[in-house]
Amino acid sequence: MAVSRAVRRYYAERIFAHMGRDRALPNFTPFDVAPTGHAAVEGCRGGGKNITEFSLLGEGERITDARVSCGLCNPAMYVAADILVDWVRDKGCEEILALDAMDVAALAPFFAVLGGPGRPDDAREKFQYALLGVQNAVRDHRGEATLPLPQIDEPTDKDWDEDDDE
Amino acid sequence: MPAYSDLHADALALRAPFPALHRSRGGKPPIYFNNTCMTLRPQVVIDAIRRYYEEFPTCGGGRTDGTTRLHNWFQDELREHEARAREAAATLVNAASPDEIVWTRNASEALNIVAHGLALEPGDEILGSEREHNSNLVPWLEAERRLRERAGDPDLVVRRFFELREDGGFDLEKALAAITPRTKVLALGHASNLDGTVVPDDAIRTLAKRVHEVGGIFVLDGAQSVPHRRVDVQDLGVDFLAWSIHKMCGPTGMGALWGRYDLLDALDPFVVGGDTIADTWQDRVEYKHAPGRFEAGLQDYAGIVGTAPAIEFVRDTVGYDVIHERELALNTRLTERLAPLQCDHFWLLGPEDPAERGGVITMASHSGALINAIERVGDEEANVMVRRGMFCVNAYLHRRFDRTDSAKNNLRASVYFYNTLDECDVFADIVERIVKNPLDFMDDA
Repeated sequence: MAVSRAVRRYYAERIFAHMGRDRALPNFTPFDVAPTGHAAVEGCRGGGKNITEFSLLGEGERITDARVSCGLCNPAMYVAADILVDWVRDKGCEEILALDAMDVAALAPFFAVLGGPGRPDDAREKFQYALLGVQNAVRDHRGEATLPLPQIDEPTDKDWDEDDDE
Repeated sequence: MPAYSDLHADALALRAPFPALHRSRGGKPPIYFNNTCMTLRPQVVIDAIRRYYEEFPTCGGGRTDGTTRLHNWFQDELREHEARAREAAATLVNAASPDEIVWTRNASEALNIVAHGLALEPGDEILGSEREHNSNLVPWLEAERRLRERAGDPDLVVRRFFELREDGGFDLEKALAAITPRTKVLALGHASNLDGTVVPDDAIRTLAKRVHEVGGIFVLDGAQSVPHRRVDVQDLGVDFLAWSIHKMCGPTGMGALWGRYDLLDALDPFVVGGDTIADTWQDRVEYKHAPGRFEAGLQDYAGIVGTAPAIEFVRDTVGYDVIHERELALNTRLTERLAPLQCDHFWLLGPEDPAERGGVITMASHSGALINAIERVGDEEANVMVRRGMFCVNAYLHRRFDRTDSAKNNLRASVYFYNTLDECDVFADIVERIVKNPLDFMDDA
């Protein structure tokens, strides 16, 4: 499974280029205080320890900040986590939980941030994992039980944007 | 340092006894650089294990206090091998007696036996470095939890740590300064599984003297030292030593605990049951003396039988001088090749001088994708086996590197005497290609 051009470009330009030995993007650094919500998701197969952790800070029904931590080995997971952490910030819990992660159409806001070309399936898979992880962190913030992960289809070379033949 | 040709000739001879090194995948041999986790086994160890199952596959027991449960042909042969193994382990670390050796599954279990068995009181403190392996951290955190419950004080601090040098090297002054009259246990790793740094023997002796002056004991985690260097417990002055046999060419799931006999025998038993007891009644139990009180139930007799050949192979057939010489040469080559590649996206952990890092070289990055690419391409192209992750030193990595999101993105190559300079070059070539063009190698992640 090749990394799609859209994922590669986002990762190279918006993540890799801004990280270094002594610098990290805020989305990938831990809070200085204990998070109000936390959840982990095993978003990459094969390693056994590929746990992506989402941490939230919130007040009541509003999430004010979010961070992600992972031994991320997959550029698509980096990208999905980065986009989801930005998206969840300053949102209400109900709005976050309202999205159906298994409905590809519901992932449109994330594909929009990714920016193309196309809507590659490697991004789809990691968006789903990341959204489910963030939603469980919201449930934890609310004091609710987290939900088990549904089966998520493995990524293919499919592009969901049928008009894009690049 | 010996010439390349001598090292290469030595390597061919040293590799011959290891069947796994003669395998091939895709026409290429394995490049086994995961020796910090577990080493390969020579034929003599494999033969010993097989001999147990083929010739005397029975149970032991009853040895430790002179009584014997069985007297028969197979039992007698097994007992001879058990005695040989315990003697080999005792002489390896210069124990005063084979009865100071307890068989365990690994160094982790050995450390748990000590941490669980010591009679600690609220107010006592346990000291370690900031970079202890989880197996030399978690058992002490559990001891802390138990003492907090006894004291009814959830904030009671029992386990403390001292800092290392900025580059991860050992700092004796900081360690000495951290020992106080409340220090009841100094639990210290002898060599780091993260970056290979070693606590010098002089420092061990100095620390042992100081901790004894304050009435404490010294528990040395030798998991990464005993396979690579002479460890003389009497010379060092420590009180307990834990190590793993499977990190020194021995059977999987074999480890050992050495303890100064009076201290060892005073420990509360950890796992109890069959073979740990002298006798039982409906309402009470009387335990054996050490080491029997710590070896509950039927043991890994095949592993025990394979232990003496492993120790003798490492210590006598190869020898610690050869091990040191070869590890230094191999790690020097890796360091010469990898250190110049360091940049904002890729760097090495630990002291710069390979002489301070044993057979270990650990690479780090903010990018897990880059680290993953090295592991994946190494495996696919050249059968390189390395290790990626946090290496059970999570607490240290979190403390040092969480702020730059690189705590989890590490890759370790660890060599042993059977590795070669050619293998180092094959691996270094792969690392170089990826580090110079990291984004080109992130496909198929």
